[in-house]
Amino acid sequence: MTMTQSSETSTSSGVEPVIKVDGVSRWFGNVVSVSDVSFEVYPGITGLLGPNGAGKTTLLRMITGLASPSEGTVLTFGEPVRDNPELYRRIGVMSEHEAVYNFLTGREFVEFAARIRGVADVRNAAAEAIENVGLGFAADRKMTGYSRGMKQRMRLAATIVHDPELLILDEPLNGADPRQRVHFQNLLRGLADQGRTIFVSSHILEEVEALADRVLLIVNGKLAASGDYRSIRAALNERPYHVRIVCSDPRTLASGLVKLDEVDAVNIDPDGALIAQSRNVLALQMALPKLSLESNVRLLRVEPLDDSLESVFSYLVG
Amino acid sequence: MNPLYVISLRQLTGRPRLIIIGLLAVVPVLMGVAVSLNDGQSSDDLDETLIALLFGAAVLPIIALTVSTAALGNDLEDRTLSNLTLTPIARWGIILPKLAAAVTIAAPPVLISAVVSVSLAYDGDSQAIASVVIGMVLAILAYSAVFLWLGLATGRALGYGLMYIFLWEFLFTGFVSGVRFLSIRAYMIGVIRGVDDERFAEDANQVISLPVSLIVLAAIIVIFTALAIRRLRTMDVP
Repeated sequence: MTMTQSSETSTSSGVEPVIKVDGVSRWFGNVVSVSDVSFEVYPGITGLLGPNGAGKTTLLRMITGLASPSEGTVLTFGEPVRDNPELYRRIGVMSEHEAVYNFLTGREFVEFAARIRGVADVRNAAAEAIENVGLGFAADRKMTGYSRGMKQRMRLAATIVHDPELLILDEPLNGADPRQRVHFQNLLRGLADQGRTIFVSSHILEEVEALADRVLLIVNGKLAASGDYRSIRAALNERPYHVRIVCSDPRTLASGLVKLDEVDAVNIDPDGALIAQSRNVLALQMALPKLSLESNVRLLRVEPLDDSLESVFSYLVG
Repeated sequence: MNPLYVISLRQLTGRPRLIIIGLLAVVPVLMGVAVSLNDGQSSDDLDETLIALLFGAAVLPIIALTVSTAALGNDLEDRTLSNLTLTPIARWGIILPKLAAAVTIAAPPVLISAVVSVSLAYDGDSQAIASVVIGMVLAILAYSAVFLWLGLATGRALGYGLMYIFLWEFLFTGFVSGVRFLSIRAYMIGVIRGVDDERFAEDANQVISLPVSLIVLAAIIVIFTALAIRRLRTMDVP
């Protein structure tokens, strides 16, 4: 299934898109990595979400100009980004790879990034960027001794050191601990609130849910859906939800569940838990305690199996 | 100073690479010492074995290969090349500092080794030293441009470069007279002979003239630098 619930129209009203991807495909030999993808990105935070191998990185590489599309066009600020170095004064890109110079200190790395981007006050810009990512305490240590999360944060400092209007971040939270994630998310929100455009990819659902105003879902190289996460979920209401129920007597509860109008099917998984399939999960939520009481079955655990973007992936992949 | 040049110098001065370069540079000096202790060797033999073979077909190109393929090859391997290409720097602004850094690292050991060994072998003949230094500087530039491009064009640049040096520069063009003018070494010898006409006197009729040598070496430097710039503009950067 492929659906597009475009929120761009609601945000675009007369504003030029910061990124415009039009009919972009990329193939390597016989393998199609990205297939006929079109979308627009506007100021705010947009998440590019998809399982590993979905084509996110290939798409980002084409948007950043690191790779050329086999077909289609990519415009950033209305210009092709490929072979257009001047455009990078307005763009900050943080690639997926841990691309740092381990023989440099963090401060030297960020100052180098500032110099090659033509920043006027290199020292102050670097110091500010390093403070922004909360790594002032480690700035004068060689990067070879940094943890992965610290390297990621210092790379983010190097990415924002020239104060770009557009930030493109490929899996930026890889290796970050929970505290760093919160710090990182707050930082990106702050940058977005200042009017910047942030395009961030991730395969981790919670990250994008917590961060992005808009979501682009890419599955098997195709744009499967786009728009607000919650509205995508609402548009998917037709699909059945699965609820996992752990109880004291699965067979008795199952026989009661199958009689409910709200329940389409009931299965028992190998662990003995019930998997109820329903298109009206709210009604099921109301009916379940009553049924439990009537059947004299103790409910130990009730959890939705698909209240996350991962389930949306699975559903879309089908 | 250009920040890209500075960081490239730091990238290229890893200890293993410097040790290899140092060991290679010592070999001609040892030969110079041996020659100075043995007065029996003719000047023509020295020209052929010390300058044409040892330097021209081995030490100089191998040192240039070791440094220049790494100048961009390292960035490709550790994926830091995107740190350079995702910036407002034009592609020539990336290639030229890289080439300059490669030559900065490769030239001193070659030239010091050449000055010492030629001084020992030719009894301090200043014209011989000057001609060898000029010829080798141009050859280092030419080899560096070729190998810098090679490092960008393939992930197996070191292997292909070694095959080129030994099979083409050392064996093929050394022994097949018809193709000896298709090697950088032949033009280096042309420059040396042009500056000091006592060098390679025995092969004078086969040595390429100074103007042609200068033009061809300059063309190699320009063409391969342009190819590297073009390659960087069109390639997918990892």
